[in-house]
Amino acid sequence: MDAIPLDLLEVILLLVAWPVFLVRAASTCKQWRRIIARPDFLWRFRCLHRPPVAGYYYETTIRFTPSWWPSGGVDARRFALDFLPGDDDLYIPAVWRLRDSRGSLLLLDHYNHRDGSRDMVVCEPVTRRFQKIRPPAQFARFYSTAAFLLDGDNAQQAAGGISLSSFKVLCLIYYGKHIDARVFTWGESYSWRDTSIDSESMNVIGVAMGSIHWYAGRRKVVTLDKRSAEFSSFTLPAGTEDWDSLVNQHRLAVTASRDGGVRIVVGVAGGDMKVFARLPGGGSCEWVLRKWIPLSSFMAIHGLPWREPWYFSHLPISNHRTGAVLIVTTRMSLSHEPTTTPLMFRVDIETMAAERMPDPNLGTAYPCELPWPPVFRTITKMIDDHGDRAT
Amino acid sequence: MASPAMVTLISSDDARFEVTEAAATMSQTIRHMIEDGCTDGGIPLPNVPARTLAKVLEYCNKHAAATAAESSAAGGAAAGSDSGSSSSADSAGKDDGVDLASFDKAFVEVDTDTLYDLLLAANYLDVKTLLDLCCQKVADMIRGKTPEQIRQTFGIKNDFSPEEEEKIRKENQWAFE
Repeated sequence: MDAIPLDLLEVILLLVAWPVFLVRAASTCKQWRRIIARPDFLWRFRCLHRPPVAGYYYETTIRFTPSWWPSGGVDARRFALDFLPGDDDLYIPAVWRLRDSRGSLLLLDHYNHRDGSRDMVVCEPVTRRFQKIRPPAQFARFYSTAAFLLDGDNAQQAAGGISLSSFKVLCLIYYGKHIDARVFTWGESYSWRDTSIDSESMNVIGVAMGSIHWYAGRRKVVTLDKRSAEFSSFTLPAGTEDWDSLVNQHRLAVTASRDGGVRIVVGVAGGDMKVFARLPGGGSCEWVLRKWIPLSSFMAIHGLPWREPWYFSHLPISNHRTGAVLIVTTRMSLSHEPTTTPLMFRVDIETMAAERMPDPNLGTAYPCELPWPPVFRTITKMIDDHGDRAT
Repeated sequence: MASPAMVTLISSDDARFEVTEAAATMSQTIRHMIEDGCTDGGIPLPNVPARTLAKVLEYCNKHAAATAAESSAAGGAAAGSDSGSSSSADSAGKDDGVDLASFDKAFVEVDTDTLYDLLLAANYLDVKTLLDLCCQKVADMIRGKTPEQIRQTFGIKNDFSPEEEEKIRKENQWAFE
């Protein structure tokens, strides 16, 4: 291997593609390690190969389910959350609730029996590390809250995305008539800052192109970019739809097309879907009807059961990395029966592929990636971004 | 049909290879030499031994022929009703695509030393597709192995001390289980 010119060796190592095997390659000899640990190499590797999703944590069980390729080469037992702290004083195991995931990190919280507060952690399952965060005081007292995990400020320069030394947490506290938004930036001040949201209501309608989308009433959609932690908004067209009532019926959703455009999808009574896209041309916020999907007849073609009423589940919040997929829920039994089993279908609005989801009771699936960039401190003496402040 | 233009290539150990210009010019290095008119008495390739050059030329001949078949198929299709055989020519072209992929796959099923030689020759001769193929093959061989297996496969000397190795493992423990 000595004969191989360095530039070729670099190309070869870039083609290794899987983070696990890149880390192993970096452990064979000093020469390989020095190439791989270079920030510009890691940056290029990341641009070529997005870290694979090792698996998913389901909202209800918080148990790890490996994705199609066995955990990206990592033992699935590595993803157990048994390292999370409990309520030590009370000898009660903490019941953690999964709130969000991003990159290799999870955001969880649990009710603290000692003082009625809420404990919040950001953890990296595969390295069994976590950071405790004290959520805003109001967060514990109000039932209606939402929490999201965002990239830290230096995520982009550090050859990767989010890490335990660079992340932010956004909390939304719903007071009925107004919403408090607080952002916590790890490492900065360790405190929560008010972020102004000029809205009375915020209903999540999906995640597309790395941004969370909320419907905020009066045709306004508020978006939050998980990379930059910046809010922005746009207005839906007037005249065509009754947007407020669509949201109330869960018949409004966003997803992304494969070419990277946001799509607004509306469910029409009778079982059709309307897909809206932005008019081409920079900066324009005009939405036009792009597609009309006869969903009920389309489901019949696939031999899938279909029953009114139907709605979009909010499962796609964290469920999918590639767009164009929506989760459609319908009920099998007649509506007057007290217990009906919801049926969930994954519908791709581009390919029109549809499949029934195995267990609708699992709730939202939160993807978990392998850590990036890996730690290469030994030998290279590089300052990596994945270092743990607490150790 | 005129017989194709031929060039002579001379390996580092003085073996002479007669090949079509179409195959030879898959190598950008040779293409430039031909363009510069340095072909009299054969083109010397002092960095490539005969054994490796033969193998590289096997690749170039196959790919040059496939490219020729493809362009003639496209020509046939463009001629349309003239030939009346455009559809069959077209499907032949597609078969070649499949054929070429399996040829490529089999082509790099070689021992590590040969793969190195091919890699270096493809780099020196600047045969882009062959270089890509060899790099991908080496990368594929790295995947799925432990560090020790990677060392064994590629004959890499472990220059870490046991302490360093231990530290390295601990840094990214998840990648070693």
